[in-house]
Amino acid sequence: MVNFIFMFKRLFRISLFFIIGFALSGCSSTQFQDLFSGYAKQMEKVRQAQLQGDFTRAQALITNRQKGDNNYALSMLERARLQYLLNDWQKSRDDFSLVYKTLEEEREKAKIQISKGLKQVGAVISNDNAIRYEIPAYEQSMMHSYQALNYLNLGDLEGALVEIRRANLVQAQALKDNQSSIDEAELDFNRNALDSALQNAYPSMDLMTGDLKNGFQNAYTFYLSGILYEAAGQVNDAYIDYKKALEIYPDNHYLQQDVLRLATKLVMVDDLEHFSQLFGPLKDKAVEVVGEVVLLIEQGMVNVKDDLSVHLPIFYFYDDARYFSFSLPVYRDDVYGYKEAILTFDQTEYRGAEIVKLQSLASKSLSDKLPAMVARQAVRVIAKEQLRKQMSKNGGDIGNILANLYNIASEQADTRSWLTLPNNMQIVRLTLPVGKHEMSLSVAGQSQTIDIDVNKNRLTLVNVSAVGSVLNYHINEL
Amino acid sequence: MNKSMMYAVVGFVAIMTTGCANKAVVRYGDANAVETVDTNFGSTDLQQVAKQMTSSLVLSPVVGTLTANSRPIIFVERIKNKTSEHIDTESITDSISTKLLQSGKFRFVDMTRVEAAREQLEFQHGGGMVDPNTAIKFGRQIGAQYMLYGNLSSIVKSNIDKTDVYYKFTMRLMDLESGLVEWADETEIRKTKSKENVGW
Repeated sequence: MVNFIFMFKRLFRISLFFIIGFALSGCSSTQFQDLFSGYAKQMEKVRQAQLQGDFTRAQALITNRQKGDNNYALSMLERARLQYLLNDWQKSRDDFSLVYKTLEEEREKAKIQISKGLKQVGAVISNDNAIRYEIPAYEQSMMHSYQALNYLNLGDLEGALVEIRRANLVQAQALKDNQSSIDEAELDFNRNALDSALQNAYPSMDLMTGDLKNGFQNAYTFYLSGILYEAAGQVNDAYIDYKKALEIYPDNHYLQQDVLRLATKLVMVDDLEHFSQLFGPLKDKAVEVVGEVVLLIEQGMVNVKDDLSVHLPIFYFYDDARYFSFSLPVYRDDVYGYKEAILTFDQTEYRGAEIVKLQSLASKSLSDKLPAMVARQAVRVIAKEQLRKQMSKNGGDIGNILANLYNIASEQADTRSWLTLPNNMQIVRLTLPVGKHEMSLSVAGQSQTIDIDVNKNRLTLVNVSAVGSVLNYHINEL
Repeated sequence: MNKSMMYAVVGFVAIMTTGCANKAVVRYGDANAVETVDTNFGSTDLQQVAKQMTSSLVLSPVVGTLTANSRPIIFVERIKNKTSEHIDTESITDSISTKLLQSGKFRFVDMTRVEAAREQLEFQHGGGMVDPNTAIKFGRQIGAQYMLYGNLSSIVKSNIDKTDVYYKFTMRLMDLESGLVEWADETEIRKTKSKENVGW
């Protein structure tokens, strides 16, 4: 009996350390549910509602998070995106700017953050969900793109251009950051004994990543940027962004035409010669009394990260490699069926051309993070094993069972990502005579008639969103 | 575990968990004080830009001859925001036009309130409430002779150690009749922020 009380006292002491650990990670809190149920699972109902086109309900289903919560920024992204789909530009803009504010605050912080370090400690005895969600560059670029559209829909082209410049800053910064960090991580990773074992256990996401060179350059953002610059009369800026987009999607024939058109207009002699050799001459020379129509079509929903259990050898003592099982996030290879959008006008069919595949960006972003994740997992497995040993020593069988239960329950992969984003985006661009037109658009089995008013020498932007069974559109005359 | 240790731990946890709450304090401050909260465009930048531009414009010899015998009428077009921040550029033009007006050398027409003025005139003429003899007549306003406009652009660079923001503010005064730019000036502002090494 005395022994029993003694044992509980020991257990109490251990749990006290836990409490202190969580309390220390202090100002920003981890919700209890985040530790024991993955983010993707929590978002399941939201995504279902979104697929059914019930954006109001989807929005209501998002867990309310306070500022300081690890997933605060992420939940605001989800909310703002749904508000965008609900055509509530004002609210969407406000929420996105809150996210931007937290990003700014994060950027301003000291190089070494004690609270961050403590969180890593917290994550060692639980899982990666105890670490603050860092918004990857591709999500940031999408955020600024939506924010630009929000400003545009509210009639503020100058504000939209500010967002576009922010997006371009993100893309430039990401390119710079990633280059060095990827190189470093790859070096470490190759040296690691885990390497070959991991490659056997972890499915290849190459198919999803495709031939995309980098997971942070978002051609859609560049294209949107080009359109808005063109609308603002800054043709040279537009030309640069079209060219950047073309670098990522060299086969997109609309992009090719845009670059040729602006190269002609700006008399970029060398460029024009180079691009004409690649893509042939500019197709439709500017005809009198025409306006341009650009359709930006977003389709489907981005995949969720899945929880993958892998067995990997960890060098526990010097020579003693033991196999431990742990969870890693993964994108399964079920690529969302990409379907071409078809626009019919005047008995001519115009096919959509892909401008971004967000799934590729997401997969690439995940595989870049993987080495660090595996390293953290290795530390975690050892820490948890130590914990189990301690508890079994101090608490006997009960301690052992409790520790095992905790270890199993807390073994959750970090499945967090912006889940209300579309899967891919396509563009259609055409020149039309001035006046009212009716065209029909069909995306993935859904059809919609679009009434459009084309103004002379002006650009009409149509944002189409085809998610699940819904096909919505919104027209902006630029 | 002895009791005093227990209390110490409980006390520590209590302090840690409540530690995030700070008491808010409200104070009045100097509106002209230098503000260095972050590198974004702030009140000090606005004041500096407005001050430099006005004194440059008022002291410029060309403008001196223009204003020697008359008070030219100016309209402020707008400041184009080409930065990566949402800046209320109307506030900058407001400061500048107020200062110029106060210098007594210029007169202004305000394009931002044209609609409101039109509504008032329409009310005076069509509302039946105003004595037609006292109603202000249409078509008697005076046209502007000069247009004031400008650009605000920025270059932002940052790495892990610091952030550097450079602002360039350009202003021009155009003679609407001849199309000539009579005056132009620019102000530059550079702000850097080095990050702390260690922080909470």
